Amino acid sequence: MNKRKSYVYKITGMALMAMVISSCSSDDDDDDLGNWIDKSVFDGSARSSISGFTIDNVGYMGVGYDGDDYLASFWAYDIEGDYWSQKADFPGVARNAAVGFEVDGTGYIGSGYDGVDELTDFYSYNTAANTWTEIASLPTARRSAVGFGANSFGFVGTGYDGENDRKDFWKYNPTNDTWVELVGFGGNKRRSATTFTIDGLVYLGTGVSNGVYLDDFWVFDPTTESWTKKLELDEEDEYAVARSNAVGFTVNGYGYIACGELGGATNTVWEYDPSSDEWDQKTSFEGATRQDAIAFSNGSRVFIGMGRTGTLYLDDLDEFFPLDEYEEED
Amino acid sequence: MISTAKYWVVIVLFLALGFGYSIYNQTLTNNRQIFHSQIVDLNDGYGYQIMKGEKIVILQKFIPGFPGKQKFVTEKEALKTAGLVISKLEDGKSPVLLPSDLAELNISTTVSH
Repeated sequence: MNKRKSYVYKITGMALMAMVISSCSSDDDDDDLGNWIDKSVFDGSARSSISGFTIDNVGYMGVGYDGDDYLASFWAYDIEGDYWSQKADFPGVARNAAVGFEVDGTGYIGSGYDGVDELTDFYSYNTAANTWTEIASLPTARRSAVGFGANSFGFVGTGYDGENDRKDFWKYNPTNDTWVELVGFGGNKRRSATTFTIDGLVYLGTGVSNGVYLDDFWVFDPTTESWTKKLELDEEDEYAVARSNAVGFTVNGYGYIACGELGGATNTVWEYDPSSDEWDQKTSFEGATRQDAIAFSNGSRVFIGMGRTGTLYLDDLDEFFPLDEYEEED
Repeated sequence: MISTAKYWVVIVLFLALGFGYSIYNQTLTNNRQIFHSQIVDLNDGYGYQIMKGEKIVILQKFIPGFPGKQKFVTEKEALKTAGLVISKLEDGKSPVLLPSDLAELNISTTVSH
């Protein structure tokens, strides 16, 4: 009986200590703004290294890898209605690590890796018709590149070609279906970098090459097609922005780099202020740490989901409110 | 005579057990049925939505995976496709429908995949 009592005391003591410790750590978290709300209502289509784009209030995502198979299925998430629809299958070979971007209301997915080869083929998606059309192939194969649409052109650059990391950029012109090499990127070769676009300017950073996470940060002006170096991602001692396989997105004039890989999957989130060229840490992603996730953003709302942590492939989706106080209970 | 009576008792008991188990099993699966489907009438065809309680989780106005805007020709085809999605969800699988799934369900499509 006495023995049992002492156990009870021990357990109560340990529980109290755990409460004190956990309340201390949650006080620390309060320094960072940003709240997360889980939007997943079903076990969706778990996959990582997905590609997609957001057009109007619909986030499109497809292809990817689920741990067993390379995928060709393609889904749309309705931001307002908070539901999914399965759209026309991607017509190319199933793949992951492709790029996806939007140019003037049309979606594009291409390049990537099918489990054997790095790929060059590219396709456009018409949201109104729910149809895919093959377009001119990217001149050089690659996976884990960056892709973005700006100033009525598509841009694809960096990545891994099967032998080397790359630093070349290509510009796609939808009016004559051609790719032209774009010179002038002064950064290092890399794979699995991230971009976000604020007021028509495209910011590029992060990524990895030969095991080194890169610290340089660039802005691309698509009207002059020129790159300018910004402050490095380790400019301040407290910065921990460098990583690879992250997601980049823009909400209300700020850029964000979230989740990714840094010797393992991470869930940290950093906010970029283009007016001061400074970074600020936000509340970390509430779900599991993850890399190769996807972000849908219409400029004012953003959703992050899918991806993987180690060999666990994820299917959940969270909405991020960068200006709100963190609440654990919602 | 006695042995035939014993024989019947065993048969009846066996049937009762089987019947009881099937009822028990049914209530168990009913408990798991958190998803249900509704057919959407699109005038010139049918779609479906997968609901979790009152909430739409998947809205399918067109046949999943197929290019263009092909609707289900009959309500029955939409219903059996939605049924397959629900069974995948209830098995904890991805709700994705592959071309082979739709071929197995004999879904009529105007344009081939």
